[in-house]
Amino acid sequence: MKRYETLFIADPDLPEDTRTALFDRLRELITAGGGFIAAFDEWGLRKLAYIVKRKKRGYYALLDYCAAGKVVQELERVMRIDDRVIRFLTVVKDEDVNVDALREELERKAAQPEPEAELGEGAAKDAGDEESGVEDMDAEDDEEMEEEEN
Amino acid sequence: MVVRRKKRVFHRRKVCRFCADKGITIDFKDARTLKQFTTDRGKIIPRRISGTCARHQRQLTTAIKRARSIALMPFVGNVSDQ
Repeated sequence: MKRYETLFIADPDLPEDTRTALFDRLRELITAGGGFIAAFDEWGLRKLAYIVKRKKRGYYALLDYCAAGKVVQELERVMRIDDRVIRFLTVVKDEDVNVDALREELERKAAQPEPEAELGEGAAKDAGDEESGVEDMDAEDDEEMEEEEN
Repeated sequence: MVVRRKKRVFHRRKVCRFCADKGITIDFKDARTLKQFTTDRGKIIPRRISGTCARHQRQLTTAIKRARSIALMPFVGNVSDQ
């Protein structure tokens, strides 16, 4: 089975209950088709980089799941029809995944608080990277300018 | 003697950021990192300028294009915002 990741944008003007109903429906679609949802992450309201269906903002949500290709087809078909979803993108995350092993691993992670500490470290490291990144960008900009001068 | 260029191009050895730091991964969901590899107009910065290696530039391009299609990143930069 493959592991997929579907990032979709729900209509930002939906009332809370309609939105949860939509999310529940999509999640049920996966489980009904024999899939396993590894994670469901609501990013919340975000500004879109460009206007989609006359909306400037969108409610992002990320589905991380393992399922058969048929399920993905069905999920995408439903999303295309449903007006409450304004955009979606499905990406294969892992070509071949052992669902039972993944489930066990997730349960272990949920039970132990240790991985969270790890995550914290990772986040701190990321922040450091970003700082260095900013410096790099400055250098790049300079170079670009130089080229233009030449 | 023909003076081709007024100024000598200053060469600095550029290192691929993703090779130098294994900690950062290229992910289409991480628009903040990807943004560092686009111009403020939203164009992807070429390898020759950013110094990214071929392998990572390829991954980067796909990631940026994916991010564009899901409205995390712009196709055309902040023309109206500026």
